[in-house]
Amino acid sequence: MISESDQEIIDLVDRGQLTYALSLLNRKLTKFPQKSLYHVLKNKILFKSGKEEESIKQNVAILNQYPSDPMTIDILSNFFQDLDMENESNLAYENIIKRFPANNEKLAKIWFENSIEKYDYKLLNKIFMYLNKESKRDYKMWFILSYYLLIVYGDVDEKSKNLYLTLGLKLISNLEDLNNQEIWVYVQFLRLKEDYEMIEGILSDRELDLELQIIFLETLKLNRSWKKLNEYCDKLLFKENFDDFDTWKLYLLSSKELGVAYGKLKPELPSTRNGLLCAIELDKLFDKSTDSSIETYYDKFNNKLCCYPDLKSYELPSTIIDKIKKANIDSNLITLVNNQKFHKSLDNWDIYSKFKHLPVAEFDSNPLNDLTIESINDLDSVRKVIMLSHLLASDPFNYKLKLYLLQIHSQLNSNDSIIPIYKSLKIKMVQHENLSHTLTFSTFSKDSLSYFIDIFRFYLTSRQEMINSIIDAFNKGVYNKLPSFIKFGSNLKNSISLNFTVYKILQTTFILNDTGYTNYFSNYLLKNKKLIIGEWTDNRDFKTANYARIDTHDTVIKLKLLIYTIIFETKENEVNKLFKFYNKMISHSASFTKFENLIFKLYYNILKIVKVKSNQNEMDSLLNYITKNLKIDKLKQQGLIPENVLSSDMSYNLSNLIELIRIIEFVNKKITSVLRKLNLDQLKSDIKSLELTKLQFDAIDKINFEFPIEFDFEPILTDFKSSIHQSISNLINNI
Amino acid sequence: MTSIKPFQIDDLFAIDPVNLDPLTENFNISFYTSYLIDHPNLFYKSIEPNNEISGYMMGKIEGQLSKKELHCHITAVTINQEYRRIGLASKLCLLLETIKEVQNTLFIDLFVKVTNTLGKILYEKLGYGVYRRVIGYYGKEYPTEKIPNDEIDAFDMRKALPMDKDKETVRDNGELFNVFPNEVVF
Ligand SMILES: CC(C)(COP(=O)(O)OP(=O)(O)OC[C@H]1O[C@@H](n2cnc3c(N)ncnc32)[C@H](O)[C@@H]1OP(=O)(O)O)[C@@H](O)C(=O)NCCC(=O)NCCS
Repeated sequence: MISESDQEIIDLVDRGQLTYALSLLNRKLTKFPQKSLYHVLKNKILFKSGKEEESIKQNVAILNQYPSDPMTIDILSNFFQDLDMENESNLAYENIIKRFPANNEKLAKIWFENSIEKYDYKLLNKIFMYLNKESKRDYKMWFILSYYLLIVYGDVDEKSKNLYLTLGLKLISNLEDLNNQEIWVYVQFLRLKEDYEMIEGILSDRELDLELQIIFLETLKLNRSWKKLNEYCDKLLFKENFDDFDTWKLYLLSSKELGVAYGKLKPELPSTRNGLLCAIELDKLFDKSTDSSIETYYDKFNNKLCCYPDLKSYELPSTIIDKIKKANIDSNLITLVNNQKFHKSLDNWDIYSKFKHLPVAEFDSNPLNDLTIESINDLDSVRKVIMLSHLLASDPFNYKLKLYLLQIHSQLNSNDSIIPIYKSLKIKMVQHENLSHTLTFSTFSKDSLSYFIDIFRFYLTSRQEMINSIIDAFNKGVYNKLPSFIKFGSNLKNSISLNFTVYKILQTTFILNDTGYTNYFSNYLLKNKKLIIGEWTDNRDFKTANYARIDTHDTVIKLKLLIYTIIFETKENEVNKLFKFYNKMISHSASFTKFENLIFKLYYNILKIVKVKSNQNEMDSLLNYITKNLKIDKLKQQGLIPENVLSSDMSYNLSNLIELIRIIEFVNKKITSVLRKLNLDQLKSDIKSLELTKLQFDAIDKINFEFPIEFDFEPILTDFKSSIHQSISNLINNI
Repeated sequence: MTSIKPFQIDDLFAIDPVNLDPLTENFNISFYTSYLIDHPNLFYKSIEPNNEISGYMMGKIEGQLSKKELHCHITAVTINQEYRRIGLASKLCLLLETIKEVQNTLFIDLFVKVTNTLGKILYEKLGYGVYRRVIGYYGKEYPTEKIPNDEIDAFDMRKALPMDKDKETVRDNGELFNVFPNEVVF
């Protein structure tokens, strides 16, 4: 147990309150000069105050004294970890475990728990090897599972994979009385080895859970064990009423292989949805025309929304096409919606007029709008916004309309409208990970800042939640969920959406000049440098209701985070490393606009002047470039104001420019005064005189506001214009 | 063309069309993982071609047999709008009854808002009946008196399973039994 006063010191060091921490620590050291915890903490302070070599040297010395207190070990291990001294980081634990085997279990478990977030499968394997010395069944399973994880997720070559496979298999085949979870692990190895005979043997005559049942079915198919497969499917489908499409298909296949005739199988299929769709599959299996089966399905399900997705991959027979053509407006709404979808019809307004007042269940979306969404495709973005907003007013829970609206606002400068729509979708928790990219063009305000902070909190909590869940799943032996837990955790750890959120926060704090969070996030960036530079995972949902893909500027986000990190970084060698990376990235990014190019060139010059040592001549010429280009005419020439003044490039460019100005001001205030010569005041006043709102309103006035249906669009247009006005002034008023 | 597969945590990246529904709750991650860890067989999804997720069921086992309270609780069942009204929710619910762990319990229960008539009908069709009315279950504040309020009250609906041979865990006229939320915690 760690005492309260020790914990206080640890927290102070973590928060960077070094002087105070040091004074408390020195007091402790006078009293307890032997206590290694205080020495490693002192070294951490030394390190943070720039005395790196000294602190490393001293910590290596401590390492060789084999400290055994878990907290000391943890701090020591993390210290080396942060410096990429992987070996030393592990030795902190390993030394003790080897030397004092009695401590093995407790310490190895702590090592495991503290290492999970590294998602380092080799390390897990090593830790479990030590735990396995305890000869407990659970630890043996952990050790075995870690071989599997190494093979599927680890960065290892073929030869090692084969070795791990052999080792894993050998260990597990020595265990007796495996439960279903353990069997699952066994079977994973056998699948990797493609030993399906063995799998069949193991899974036969066992009571299987769903996970194993699926594997068993698949195995029987691969082994062409048709009789067994047929009997098993028969049991599931007819005795246990497990109405499962995949099982039905296997039933039909195995029956055919066993010589059962088409005519005998067809009547066995029930007239449920799965049954009728299986009839189509049965036709295909026996090379027969699918027409009549498709028609039977259509006749029964044309008034259900699943009809279209169910049939869309089949070729519709002419009889249905005729029916669709003949269907008149008096048909059922859902039938009409399906028909129009099959027909790919864009003119749906008659149907809309007839059915717009038909009530739907209170919280359901109106299927009618599946059609209107297609019909507005040809309109320009402004009219799309107006139409979508109008449709949404009478279909307030339709998420497709809302996502579409978010996508269209992202093409315009009505940035102010974005967060309210996003919020109305009640997006929470992991949904942010999937969908926060729809906030790419959200406005810069105090409210949006606090919203992004909320999103960021989700990441902080979920990180810890995943670690705890993984530990819990190991402890409870739920092996068949563990690979996906681990994958999910590692996917969430360094995702584009997380980095986007961090960037949005930083950009907003700079643009708003709200310094409250700067300290926290500069620490965050410095601590997570490796993640920023590293590969980002992408879990975003670009599939759901994706009508107009949002330009998420992923490379720009990475570059900007890099710029912030370089600005905050104080260590010269680190700055140089990051700066090199920055250069490499800009020289490999071909897809920048003219304006983005200029911005990143300017940053290059700024960083070079401020953070990277250059000689005076070079400095002069770098500064000269900035002075010349940070002028409104020059910026306009480089595309500050896009040709289409309504395009979101306008606010995007403007925000990039204002952010740059803010960063220069930050540098002037906090780092060096060399950029003071730049005449930012002139630039700011020039930006203010651009009359960007008026430019846009003039363009809007030129639009011919004709719509396919009649409605009073003026109030929506007024809201839209005020959103543009607000979004632009949110930017301009802040400079 | 629905198939049933076990739910995995990374399915959370692929269920927006289901979870963007206004009545479907989105929980923090450990809520989902706790179900996956403690009740892996009672958390499954329905999928369509292309692995599109059309819905899912989240259930758990709780309560003690000695108190005649051992049962399966349906925490969430929800269906993508495109696949509604074709019996999918019913199917996911009925599937529970075929799972060994559930069969070893006395009943299945769930909560539905008093105003959710459709939900109530759905479950009635599946053989569930109202066991009791939970006063203020969805309210912001804990109720002090047993005064019904349709907006915040829930019906606790139950279906007895074969294990409950004498049907002791269900009753008629359950709508008239009012209880406080703390009385439905197991
Ligand atoms: C409630 C919900 C799960 C129903 O899913 P579903 O797959 O469409 O339900 P089923 O097809 O099995 O419906 C069975 C019966 O319930 C009733 N029902 C369900 N939805 C209905 C609706 N929108 N309108 C009228 N009746 C409805 C009907 O009686 C239906 O039988 P029928 O279609 O033969 O008339 C789905 O609408 C949903 O996901 N809603 C949001 C989440 C939610 O509210 N979940 C919890 C409910 S307590």
